[in-house]
Amino acid sequence: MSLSQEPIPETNKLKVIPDATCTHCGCLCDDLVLSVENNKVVEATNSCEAGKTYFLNQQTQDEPEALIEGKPTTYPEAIDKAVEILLAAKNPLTYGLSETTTEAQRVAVAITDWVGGIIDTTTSIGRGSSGLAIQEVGEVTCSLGEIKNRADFIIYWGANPVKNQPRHLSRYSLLAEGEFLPNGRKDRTAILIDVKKNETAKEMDPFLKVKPGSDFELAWTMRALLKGIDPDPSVEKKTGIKLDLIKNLIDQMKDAKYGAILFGAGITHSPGNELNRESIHLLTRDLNQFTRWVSRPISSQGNATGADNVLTWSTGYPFAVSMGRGYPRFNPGEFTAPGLLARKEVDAAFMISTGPMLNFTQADQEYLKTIPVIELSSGVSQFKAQPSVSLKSSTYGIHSAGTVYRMDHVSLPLRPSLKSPYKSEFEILKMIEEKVLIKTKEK
Amino acid sequence: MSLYLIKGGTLYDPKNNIDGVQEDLWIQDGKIIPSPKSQETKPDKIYDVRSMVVMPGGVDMHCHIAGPKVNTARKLMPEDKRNALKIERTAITRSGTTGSVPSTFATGYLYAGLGYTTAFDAAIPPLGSRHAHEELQDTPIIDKGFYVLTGNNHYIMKKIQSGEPHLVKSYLAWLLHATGGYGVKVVNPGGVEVWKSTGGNISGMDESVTHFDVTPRQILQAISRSVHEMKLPHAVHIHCNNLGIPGNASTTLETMHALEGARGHITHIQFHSYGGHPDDQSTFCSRVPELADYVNSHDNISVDVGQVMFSKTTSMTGDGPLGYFLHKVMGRKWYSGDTELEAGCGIVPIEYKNKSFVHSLQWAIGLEWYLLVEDPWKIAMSTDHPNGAAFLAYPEIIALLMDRQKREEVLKTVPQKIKDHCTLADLHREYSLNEIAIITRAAPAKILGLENKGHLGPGADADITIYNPQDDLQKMFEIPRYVFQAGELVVEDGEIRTPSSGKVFCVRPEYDQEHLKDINSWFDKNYTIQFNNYKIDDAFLGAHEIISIKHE
Ligand SMILES: [Zn+2]
Repeated sequence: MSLSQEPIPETNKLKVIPDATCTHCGCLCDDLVLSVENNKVVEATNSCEAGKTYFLNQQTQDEPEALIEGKPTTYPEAIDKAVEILLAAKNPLTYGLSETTTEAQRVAVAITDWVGGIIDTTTSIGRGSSGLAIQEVGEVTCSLGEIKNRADFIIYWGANPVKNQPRHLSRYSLLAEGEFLPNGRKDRTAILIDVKKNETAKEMDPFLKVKPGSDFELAWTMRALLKGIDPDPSVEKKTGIKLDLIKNLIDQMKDAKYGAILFGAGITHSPGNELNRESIHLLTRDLNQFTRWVSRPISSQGNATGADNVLTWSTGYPFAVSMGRGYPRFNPGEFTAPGLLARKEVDAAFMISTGPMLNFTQADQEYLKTIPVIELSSGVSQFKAQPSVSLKSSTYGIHSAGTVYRMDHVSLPLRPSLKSPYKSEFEILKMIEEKVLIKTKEK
Repeated sequence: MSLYLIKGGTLYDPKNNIDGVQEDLWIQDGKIIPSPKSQETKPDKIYDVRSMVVMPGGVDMHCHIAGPKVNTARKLMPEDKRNALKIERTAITRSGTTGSVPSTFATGYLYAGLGYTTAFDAAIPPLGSRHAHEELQDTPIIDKGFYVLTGNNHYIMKKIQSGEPHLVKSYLAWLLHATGGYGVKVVNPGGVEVWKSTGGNISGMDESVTHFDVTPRQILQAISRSVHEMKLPHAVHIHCNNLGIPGNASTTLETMHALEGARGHITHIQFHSYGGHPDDQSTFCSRVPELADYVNSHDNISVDVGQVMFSKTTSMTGDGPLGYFLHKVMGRKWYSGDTELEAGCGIVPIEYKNKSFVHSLQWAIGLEWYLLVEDPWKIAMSTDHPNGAAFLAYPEIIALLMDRQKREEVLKTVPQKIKDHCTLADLHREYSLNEIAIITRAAPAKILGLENKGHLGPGADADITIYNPQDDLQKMFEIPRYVFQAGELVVEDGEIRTPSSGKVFCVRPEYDQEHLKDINSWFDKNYTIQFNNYKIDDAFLGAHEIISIKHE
């Protein structure tokens, strides 16, 4: 494993870093031009507003590099303690991984393997690109450039890119000039299906307001119409959309050359999301009997897609993997973090770059107070109680180099712009792995 | 550095014309060295392998083990792994899963366990190369590399259309630099683009590709000429149009003709050797004899087989329309992924059954290839892992080739009418150990242009596989006694001794830097990532060896 990184200049003079990748959302725009002066980003060209704020507001940090039970200490001391916890635990959980590089994710999987733990990522709470739908029915999809270059019909479904993925429209989809769509927006038809008229609606041709919790019924109605079956009229009431409108939509969809369904958090984060996703996958597959259609989630965050990939290539499964028996086993539900915590089935937790732990219940958080927790993160602590060990890292893409995967699984290099007093997650995890291997040999 | 002596083994080293001769081998610094002149020289360790069979490490020149498509296949098929062999963690090795698409660590250990020390992934979309390299770094022990997909590349098609072949050549050279690839692959030239833009496919070599006024023939010729002129160590690696379709042997012959004497490697040729009519399955038959005749009489062509074995596996291909075709046939889950400007991909689960007329015939057609190509240096063993079967089937295939009776036993279990549709029952040839050493090591290394692989002469990488001779040939090849990779003992009786990392092979042909401007401006207009972020830095590649281009 290697990390290519151009040394960050010692001088305080203005330096310009082109082709920088922004990890603020899953778009991973890699065309930012950053101007850096006195170890601060003073200008971020090409970025969206959110990305600009992210780069320009990086604070110099003066917290201790590590804490044991809240008391400042050094990396080596804290790493010794962390290793002690991991090796003493019968069933340690490694969780998170969405806000770091694949290089770090690879070491996190290795550590979990060596200690025989369970590993899960934010994919289990819908933040990744994977899900169970692909395992059930497959997927017909594409890289974002195919949408830019070919998609003459785009359905944003349960998505609000204008707010959540601000450059998606101009860079990858609706507004982009494409190879076979030289006039950009004019060459495309666009529809939003959502429970409310969100910020993206004004960019659309029609907006279809669907009743909350009826995406599944809408997709199945569309599938029925494609097969020439007349749906039960009750779907109008269920979905809140007139059948004629759906029929008309299906006719238009069949006339597209290359259609794309881009679904967002409204699908992937909602209850029953796997069935919603599966119905969209099936609809897309059926549409290919008439013309080309693809679909893809656009709500993945940070490098959650990298974590999907790393877990898959090293264990065979994208998330919820237990190595407790010495080899990988996959069982969503049984080995997903929230459930494990609620059922009190783990006796230590190694929380790595988790991002906000919004989906963790009060019960999960309460249980985390009762077991040793090791937190490795560049940001503020996500825990109500003081973790047993806190390891502070530099921020990926800001201070540290490495690899990240865009929402469409295209991987990109990071070009760090600032110096940090902290080590990267990769470096810290590597120290932990080395120590684990030494300790397990001693045993 | 340590000096090892492998003493008294019976060597099969076809490249150096050694066919079953008892000889010592000396290893130092990862290489095979000449026997020291001085009798005083004392090795640090002696491996006494008297009565054992010593061959170069195996070389798999066509498999699918890394990158976006392979990883999606792993994700697609959890059920494939549950009841399959489990790779348990040890003090020095990582755990893993198997099934038809093993996890990366498992892949490295399993290849090494089989005595294979080098493997090439055959179909990486250039945009997925960074991903492929990451997986290869997590694939231990074996040396490796990949071929980049180019047969449906928009820049190439545009430059053929505009009559600028010099730009095609420069582009390919630049692409190999940028991706850290080893070879140039063509998959269903033009057909994948037609699939991406219309949902259809191409069936003839002179049909026009949607959006680009070019034909499969033109694409193939422009790329093969460029590869030839660049003097790449490996010729253009060709997956012909019409894979799997009855009657496709004509397309395959046409493809070989279209090379006009330039070198070309036709891959998984078993899938491209069919007679019969596409709409009438009962007419499905083998046309291996006439294709093999062509290969026997033309030195510019090499092939690997893509042997089908009766098992559950996963079909994965850069041939998007083929994936859709198989999905319609199999009716099971289907993955399709289009990569901007470059490639497509299809994945479907598949089961080859010996009760099926078509599957049995495919099995027989693969074996006909091995038995009808006269010069084993022109043919490499492959299952197109995992398409025809997993690479773990190699020992069984070896046994089938060396033992005619074993073939006849299998022939008894398949629909008898296949005997009227192929020549397998009449083929009496049996492979010798020396010929096995050729098709599993020496020939693929030669076809790849890897001078330090596939032989045991001084200067070769010390990749050595040592077998205990047994009557049961399959067993003999399943568990080698010792496997050395780069001079280290990596496997002993099926157990990993040194979990080394192996290296990646790349090529860096020269090209006119002036042409970069045109490539760059096209790139900026059409891709969704930056030109500078497409290129992979040497530091990212990790351990790699650049194979030099020979300009005689
Ligand atoms: Zn293949």
